[in-house]
Amino acid sequence: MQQRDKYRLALLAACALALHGFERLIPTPIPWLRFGFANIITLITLILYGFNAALTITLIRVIIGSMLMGTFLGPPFIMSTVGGLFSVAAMWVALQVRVFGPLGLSLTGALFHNLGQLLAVYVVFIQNLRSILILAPVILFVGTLTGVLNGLAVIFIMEHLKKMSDNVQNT
Amino acid sequence: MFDRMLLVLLLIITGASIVLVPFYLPRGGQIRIEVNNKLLYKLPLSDDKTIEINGLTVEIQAGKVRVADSDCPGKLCVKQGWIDSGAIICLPNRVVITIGGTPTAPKGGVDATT
Repeated sequence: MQQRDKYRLALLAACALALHGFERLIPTPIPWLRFGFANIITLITLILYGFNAALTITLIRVIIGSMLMGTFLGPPFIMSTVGGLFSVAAMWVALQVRVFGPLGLSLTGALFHNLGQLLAVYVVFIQNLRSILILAPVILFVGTLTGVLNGLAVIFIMEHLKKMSDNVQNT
Repeated sequence: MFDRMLLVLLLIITGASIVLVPFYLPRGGQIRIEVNNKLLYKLPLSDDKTIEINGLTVEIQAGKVRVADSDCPGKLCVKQGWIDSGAIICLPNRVVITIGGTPTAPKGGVDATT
């Protein structure tokens, strides 16, 4: 990996962390509902720099993010980690299939993030399949909506990045 | 585009399952036993069990619950027999047995910091 790429990854990780912290400030109707804006950064990294880079950024975000929030190694940390790993892996697989654009990738990421979290909740915290089955569809539905939002953001950002690099090449 | 297909598919599946999953899950669910307004037991109705509590013998069997024996004077709770919904209340012993329909959502299951 080139030195320049390392700087870029550090910057992207910082962006992901900022979004991760910032979205907590947005009031949502249900307390545990989050937008997952950090996934925008993860997805862009995945598309531009590949799986390892996206994984790195996710881990940096989850670990440092939880340290900033004071939840390191706590239940939210475990859920963030499992969700993050699931979503990166799923998005990478979806990217390999090559039929999905950013929107589809974002949806895949959101879906598997939530599936991973539900799995973590079930395995680590409450072995109550009934509550989880009732909760799961709602979470996955909301996840689909936020996935669309993030996917549109990724499309928007990617187009701008493309325009910017085109300008650089033309001049 | 496959993206839109995926979106529509996800919306349909999750939307439908919000409605369908609670519908298909077994009903009845949980028995709550309270003594002096304090929740002491929360048991699934599906497990057969006998509990001694505050002078009462509570029996759970085949998705139903009854008070088999009690040391209270009136024994209204015993006379009520097997129930699969509603409640059995023994005032002298301050015991309330209710059958709840929906289980409580896991508190702190998914929270603000994930």
